[in-house]
Amino acid sequence: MPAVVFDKVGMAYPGQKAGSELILADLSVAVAQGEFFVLVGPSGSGKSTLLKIVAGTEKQTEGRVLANGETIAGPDRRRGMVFQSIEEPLFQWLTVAENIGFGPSVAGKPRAECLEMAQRYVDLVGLRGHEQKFPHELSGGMKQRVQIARTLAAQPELILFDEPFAALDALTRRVLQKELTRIWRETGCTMVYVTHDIREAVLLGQRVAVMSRGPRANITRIYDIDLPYPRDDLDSRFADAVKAIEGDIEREAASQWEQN
Amino acid sequence: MGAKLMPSYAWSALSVAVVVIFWQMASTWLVDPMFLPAPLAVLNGAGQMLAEGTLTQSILVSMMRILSGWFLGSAIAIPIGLAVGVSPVARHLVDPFIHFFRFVPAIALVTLFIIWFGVGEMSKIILIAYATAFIVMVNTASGVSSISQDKLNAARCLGANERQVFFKVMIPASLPSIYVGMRLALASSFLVIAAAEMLAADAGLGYIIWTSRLYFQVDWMFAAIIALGLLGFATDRLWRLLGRTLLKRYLRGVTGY
Ligand SMILES: Nc1ncnc2c1ncn2[C@@H]1O[C@H](COP(=O)(O)OP(=O)(O)OP(=O)(O)O)[C@@H](O)[C@H]1O
Ligand SMILES: [Mg+2]
Repeated sequence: MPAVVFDKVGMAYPGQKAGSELILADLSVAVAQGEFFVLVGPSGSGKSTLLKIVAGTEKQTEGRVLANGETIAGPDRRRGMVFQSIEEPLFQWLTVAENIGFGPSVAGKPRAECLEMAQRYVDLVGLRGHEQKFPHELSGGMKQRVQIARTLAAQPELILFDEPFAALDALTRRVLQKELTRIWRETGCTMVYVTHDIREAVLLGQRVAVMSRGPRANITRIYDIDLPYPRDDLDSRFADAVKAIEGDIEREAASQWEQN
Repeated sequence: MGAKLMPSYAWSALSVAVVVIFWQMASTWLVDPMFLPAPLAVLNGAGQMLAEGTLTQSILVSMMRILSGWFLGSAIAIPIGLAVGVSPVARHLVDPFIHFFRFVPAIALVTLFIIWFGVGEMSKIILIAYATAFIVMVNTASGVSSISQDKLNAARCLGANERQVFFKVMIPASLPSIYVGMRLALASSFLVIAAAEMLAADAGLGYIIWTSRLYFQVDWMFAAIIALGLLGFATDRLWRLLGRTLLKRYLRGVTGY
């Protein structure tokens, strides 16, 4: 059974003007268990919207969305989310360890066990020594590590990433991309990852889906990236994949210009 | 800046000293001390009232009224503010009243409250509770509604149910606004108590300010005014100290000034 299935999904936000066009229309796709699935596409096409539907914080208006074969009723710790915003998602009044232990704590685990679990994920994301710090004492990269660790500590089966490293500097981004691949392989979680950075998409994803420009956005093409991990961006096959996807997105953008 | 000339509180002490010296000079050479009693005369007046026990008693009475009204007002306002911030229905129900009474100053209600609640403690405490409540309510509600959706959704995606989102995220995240609202309300409480005690009271700092006029004891008046200012200053500092110690992790960034 696939981890996520989109079946002819259409989406309009409740706040949208009546009669205005759907953001996503007739979108169908399936993400396999344990897969690293990457989504790229023009700004405003509805990538974040798609993630929110899987997370359960928004509901599609047409079609069906299944996670592990069940309809999505609302947010659930089995589907974690790592947000693009660096500051907002963290709980600024909790320490790093307490932030990471939030999932276990709302699941009713005793405090000692929460902190023990937190420690495990602190180690996994390389934050040892920073457990007692508050978010404002961390760098942007460290804050995103906290978000990742916190999501993992809730023991999800699937993690959604909305451009998690977009606001970080290039060097930090590279380090975190490498570590994310390692974390994915260690945990076996299904990953659905949205990015604007095609190099990043090819570095991380087993499959890279390209979305068309909205309204009525859809997935136009899915690339299989058949390269071994950890990936080497100097490999010529890596460069070929990046070039192919870039060409696809440029054509998508150009077709838009012609229409207007 | 180069090396520190003197510790920061010394600057404040210096500026206070300079003002007091100018005041002393003004009342000696410029103004009739009948209208502007010298600092020493005020100190003397304060000493008299302390000896009689009126000053201490008035301070206690006024502070009791302020603190009771302030706590009462906050205790009513915080739950309402939270509800308004969380639930659109509550918001639509309460909004017209909040934004109407917010502009009816407590001072305009002094006489009405005396008619309703008598000249005793009750009318003053309710008046201060009234002045406090709307400030705290508006701050609390705006604090709750400005919590980022990402923060709330992060909690939900980590498995928190709505009750846990409320207690573990919304309340801690809105504490800074509640705290700031209560601090602003504290200042209005002092404003209101002075006015209320002038109209109907037999004790309190406002009462001293109002009655010293009858005996033309401007020095008493000054002593009570300064006591009011000092008390406000001290309570505000205590509130800030609380924010910087016990509640520090929640209030980072709002206890700076
Ligand atoms: N809460 C909302 N209410 C109404 N419309 C919305 C809402 N959120 C997003 N939209 C609209 O939905 C469309 C898709 O937005 P979305 O954020 O999913 O795009 P995106 O592909 O993630 O873009 P980006 O790459 O810039 O992050 C946009 O046209 C946006 O204006
Ligand atoms: Mg987006």
